[in-house]
Amino acid sequence: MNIQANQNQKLPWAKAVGGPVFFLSFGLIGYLYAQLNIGPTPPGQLGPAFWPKMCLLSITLAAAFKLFEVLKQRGQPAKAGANALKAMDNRKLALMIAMIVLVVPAIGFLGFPISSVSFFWLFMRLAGEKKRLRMLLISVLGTIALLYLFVKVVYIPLPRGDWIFDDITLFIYRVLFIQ
Amino acid sequence: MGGWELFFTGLGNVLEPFNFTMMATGLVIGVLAGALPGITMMNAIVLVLPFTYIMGIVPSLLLMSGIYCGGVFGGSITGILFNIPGDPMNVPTTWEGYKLNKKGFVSKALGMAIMCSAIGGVVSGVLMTLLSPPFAKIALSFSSAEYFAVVFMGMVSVVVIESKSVSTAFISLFFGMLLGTIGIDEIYGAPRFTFGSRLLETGINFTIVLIGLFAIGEVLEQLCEKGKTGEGVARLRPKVHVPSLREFWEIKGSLLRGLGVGVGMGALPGAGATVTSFVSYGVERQCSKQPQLFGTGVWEGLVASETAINGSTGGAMMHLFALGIPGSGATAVMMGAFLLHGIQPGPLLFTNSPVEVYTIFVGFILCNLVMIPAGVVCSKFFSELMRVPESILGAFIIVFCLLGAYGLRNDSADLWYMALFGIVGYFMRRFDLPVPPLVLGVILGPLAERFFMTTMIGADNDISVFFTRPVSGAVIIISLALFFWPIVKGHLKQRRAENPA
Repeated sequence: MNIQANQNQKLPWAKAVGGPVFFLSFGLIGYLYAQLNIGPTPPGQLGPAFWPKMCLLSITLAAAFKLFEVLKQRGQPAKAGANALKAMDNRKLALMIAMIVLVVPAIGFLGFPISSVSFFWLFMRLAGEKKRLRMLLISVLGTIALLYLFVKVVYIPLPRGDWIFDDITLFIYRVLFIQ
Repeated sequence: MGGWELFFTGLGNVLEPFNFTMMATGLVIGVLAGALPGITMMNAIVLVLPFTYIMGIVPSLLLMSGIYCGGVFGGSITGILFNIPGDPMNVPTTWEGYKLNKKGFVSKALGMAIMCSAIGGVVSGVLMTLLSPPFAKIALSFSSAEYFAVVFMGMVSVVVIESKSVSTAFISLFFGMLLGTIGIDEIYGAPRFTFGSRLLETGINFTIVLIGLFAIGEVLEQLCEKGKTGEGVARLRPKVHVPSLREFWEIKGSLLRGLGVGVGMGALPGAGATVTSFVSYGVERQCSKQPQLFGTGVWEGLVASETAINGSTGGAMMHLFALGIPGSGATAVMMGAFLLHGIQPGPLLFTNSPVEVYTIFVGFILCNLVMIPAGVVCSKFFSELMRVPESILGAFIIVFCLLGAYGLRNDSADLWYMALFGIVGYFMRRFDLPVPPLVLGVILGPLAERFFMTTMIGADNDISVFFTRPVSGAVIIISLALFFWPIVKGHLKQRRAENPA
């Protein structure tokens, strides 16, 4: 029991130290990188490396100060509710993050219309929507509305996709009188 | 013709049906463009430019003024409703407005934002009408040192924004500033942190960072909370509650301070509405009796930043009319409209085309008044979206964010950045890391660098130039005072508590 309690007390402190140490190392390594790789500096001027180096040095100093604060507070009881986190559905979260990442290459390869309809459908399904007809209508009509607004009204050339998907997108545009 | 005669002639011109219709149309387009992520007020002004070829100069500029006034306000609507600021200038409004929405004050927050924007815009317009030539002459004497001082003041508000841990706030701020340096350096043309990648060479646009950090993180947090189904969440229909005189009286101090900061900083070319809104928010927090509540949904923060944003618009127009120097991107396009019609903005404009100038001045003031009903109608339209189930709304927000990110530069690299910052934003919230200072760093960092480096090149690296020039020296000293005052105040309070006698 005592060991368990001690571990519970130590764990937040160890976590609190991890952040400042990461940024301290990041600042120092980044400074070294900027010093060696950004340039050249014209004579009598501060040069292109000055500003990023200043930022990195400031990150290092702020992280060192934070580390000092954390070490000073060691042993003091943590404030109630300071690290209170909402309970999250981690599976859903991981899938949603994966979808947000995967939709980016999908837009480039499949083109906006196909990826948008697919994304709407899958995302709504994952978020808990169950009515299939509603999902279908929203996915299709939502994509059409966005195509009209962005391609037809504000002239933003959205990605049309590669290979056969370029032709499919063009066909969709023609059917919808967008191009 | 005398001043008042010109004023009333201008009023008559603005109230002509065609001119008035153009102004109202511009307002609606502006509010919608400002509110939709990815379609900026600048996009909208550029898009209407070809239509102005067939119009006279007065309806053309009234249309553009309408878009300008509406666009500046529009971003606050989606900020308050969905935590998506339409433009960087609407970020402080979003901090307080969205939290007020969560507390159940969405109707009043929208109404307050509309009224404060209108008041800021009207006062700014009146001052522009009365003081244009002398004010613009003073502004012309300012150099990059003064601009840096102003941006520095905006950055000092980082302490103001984040009071939980100053050191964490600084890490976040400087990390944001570091992100702003990625890409090809503006002054020397040297690549910085690009690692030979084309994706990194174009740099990171701050709008993408803020769309990702605010909107995606919020959607993930809302939809992935345990026990939420996301389906059929029918919320109440929010209305727009226009505040009463009594409610205005309660926030008079914040309103006046917001006006002061907005009008004063609007007169500086280069400061812009974004810096103004951050500074105003920072000043307000310092003046507040309960600064620790800022960021949790307080009226003072919303009122001050919203008033200051529109309060700065007159200044940008002033530079265009009196000096022929556009004070912002939007006014640069308006200058193009002037030139298309064969009119050269500048000091001679007041002598050569006084009726046109006063018509546009009056139109600008009226624009801000007509913005009240236009803002109410558009806010009601966007409020309807609040009733859409979260699963559907979340999907639309993410697709809008993707389109918004792509639409800025038509570059697929921005889609990657948006996804990355969306995920980073979620984890920053999750682990209680402050997001606002990072956003502030990404937005103001490149501006600060440009003004600092330009000043240093001109002054042979003599840093004392920031203190020897009276205006920049004064602004920097005020900024330092704003920075240290909470520390000194806290120390004095502690000493008083220890020695009550």
